Amino acid sequence: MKLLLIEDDPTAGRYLQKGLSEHSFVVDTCRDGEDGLHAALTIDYDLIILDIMLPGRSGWDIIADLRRSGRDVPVLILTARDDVRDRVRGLELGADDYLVKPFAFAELVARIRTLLRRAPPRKSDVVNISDLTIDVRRHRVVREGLSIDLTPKEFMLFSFLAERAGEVLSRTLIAEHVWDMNFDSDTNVVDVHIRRLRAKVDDPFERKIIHTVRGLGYVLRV
Amino acid sequence: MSSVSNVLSVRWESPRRTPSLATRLTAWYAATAFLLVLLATSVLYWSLTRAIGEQNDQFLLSKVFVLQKLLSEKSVNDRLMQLEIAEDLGGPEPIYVQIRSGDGAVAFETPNISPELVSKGLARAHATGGDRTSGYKFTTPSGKLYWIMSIPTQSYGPSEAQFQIDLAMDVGDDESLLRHYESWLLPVLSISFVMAVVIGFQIARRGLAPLDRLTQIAGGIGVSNLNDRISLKGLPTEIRSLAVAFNNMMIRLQNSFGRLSQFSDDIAHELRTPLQNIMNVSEIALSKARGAEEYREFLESILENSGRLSRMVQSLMFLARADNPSAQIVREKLDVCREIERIKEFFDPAAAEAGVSISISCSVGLNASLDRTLLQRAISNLVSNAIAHTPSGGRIELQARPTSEGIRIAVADTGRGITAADLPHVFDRLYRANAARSDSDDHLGLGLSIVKGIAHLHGGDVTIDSEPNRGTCVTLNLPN
Repeated sequence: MKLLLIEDDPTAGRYLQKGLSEHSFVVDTCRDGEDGLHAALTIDYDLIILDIMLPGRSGWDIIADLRRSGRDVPVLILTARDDVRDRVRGLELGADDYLVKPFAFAELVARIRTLLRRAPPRKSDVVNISDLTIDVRRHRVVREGLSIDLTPKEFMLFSFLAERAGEVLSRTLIAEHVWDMNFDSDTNVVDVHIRRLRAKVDDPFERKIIHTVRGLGYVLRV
Repeated sequence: MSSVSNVLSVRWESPRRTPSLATRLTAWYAATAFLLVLLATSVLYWSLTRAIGEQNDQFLLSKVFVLQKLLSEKSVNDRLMQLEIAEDLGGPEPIYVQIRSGDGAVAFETPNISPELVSKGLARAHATGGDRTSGYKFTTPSGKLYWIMSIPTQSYGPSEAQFQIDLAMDVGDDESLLRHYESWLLPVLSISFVMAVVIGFQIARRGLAPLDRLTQIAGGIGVSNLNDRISLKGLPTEIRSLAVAFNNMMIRLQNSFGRLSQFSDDIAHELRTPLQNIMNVSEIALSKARGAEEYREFLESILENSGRLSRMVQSLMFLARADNPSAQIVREKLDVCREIERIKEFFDPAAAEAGVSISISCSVGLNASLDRTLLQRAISNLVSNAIAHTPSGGRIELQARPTSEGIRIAVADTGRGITAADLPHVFDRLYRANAARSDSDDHLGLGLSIVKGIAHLHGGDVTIDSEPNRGTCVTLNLPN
């Protein structure tokens, strides 16, 4: 997957590029609006990550020009200003998502994946990971041949982790996805949910599959 | 920033020049004073003319009486009599007389009487009937001024003959007196007008001096002298009330400025702790070579502290935005009970761990047009607070009811409650009831401020009732 990162801050640009490369994305970086627009118009990218405050040409102009020239490449906006009007403006101009600085890198990766998956390959009804089988249609979880009884929400949480196996998921993202709660929670509520889930899917078994990543969130890894 | 400095540097310029208060007061004062002087001089002039006329009448009537007496004693044709009359009428102001007998023939005439006086002045007196006790002024074509009287009379005594006595007195001196008076009028009026303006201006300026003082003090107010007050000593009542209002405004300003600087102070304090951690951890991590596992731990600690900083900054940004009167929210039609149900579902396990139960009391089919994300955030903050402050075995109830203008959502708990001393401050930013700041990592003391901000963004309000050891109830009133 080839991404274009248009970001004027050198530190932010360097580390985002490094981080994204390590997640096996190919990343080109532009430091100002003119170069960015030129690259976006001449090279085929799968996704563009765009800072709004840029020297030369503002992020707004770049989206507008891109859309005018008929490019429908997904655009993810990065901004330091969290204002409803900005958000609405970005989406009206044809941006696909919006992240307010400071954001967690895991959050950025998750959103990029979501955008690239916009037309998702059909989710299979059954997920198999090592000794684990999740039957999405029948809401059944089997591990090491033992059937595990989960409440509907626990099942949603577990299948979300399983779908994104190997990907660190932030508490915010989990709350948003499983409970449709759209806020940056200060509470440890998600931790409690994970603890309950672990009691059922991890505690009885020797090998643990749900891991805590301190300061980031949780990951299902076999 | 630019808008702030614009506000600060606004100058005193009205779009159309309106006259200053001093100018207006001066104009009114001068006009009034001038009119009074004008009125006084006119009345004086009028009464002076009247007094002169009456004096002339009295004088001429006294002459008539003398003539009447002479006519009763002797015949008018008597030579001696004529001399006597002439002598009697002589004097510094010559009087001209014409005495006519009943048949109209002239019986006596002052020797040097001018023909034009006879033909114009006295003739007119005859024509008007000639019976009057007050005279009138007559100007001859050659410009001489006379006071004329014409009296019918009867000699008593033996003959009882009818006479008509016409008198004319030269009043040129009276007239020149009046002219003299008139000639003084213009300068006197001009001077009094100028003086009225000057004095009026002085009075206006003295009267408005306290306002100038007020302006000077107001103009000199800055952050460093917010405790300056206007002294009320010697201020007139009207300006005193302005000064009192001004002083009260200063008190309010000083209070909010104090709160603001306290707030910045608190923010700095809150930011300092995680920053300090990040710096220490990074320095220690770099101070010598370590194993991968150790580095990982250091980095995780840094990330945790950054997360704390990030959440704080986002909360503060949110509050700053909620303060902005032009902030916008995205309203959508919500099934309120469904939203509350979802929040309960989210918090249930955490509440169960704390030994607290959550129940819902929601009017069926309650709909409202609200910002969904903000509503979730407000209720979640309240529920999270309630769980944190309710001991095991307690209950939390989420209530939602329709009201006349929107909906009312309440979160009630049976928790530890808040003391009466703390209650008025719980919506203040970074205020925490128990002064222990390091209380918890994540409870920044911004939760209730954010709830209040969300209520305000919806055009509503939030109230809190609490009793120590009985529980707390926070109520959101949100108009539709």
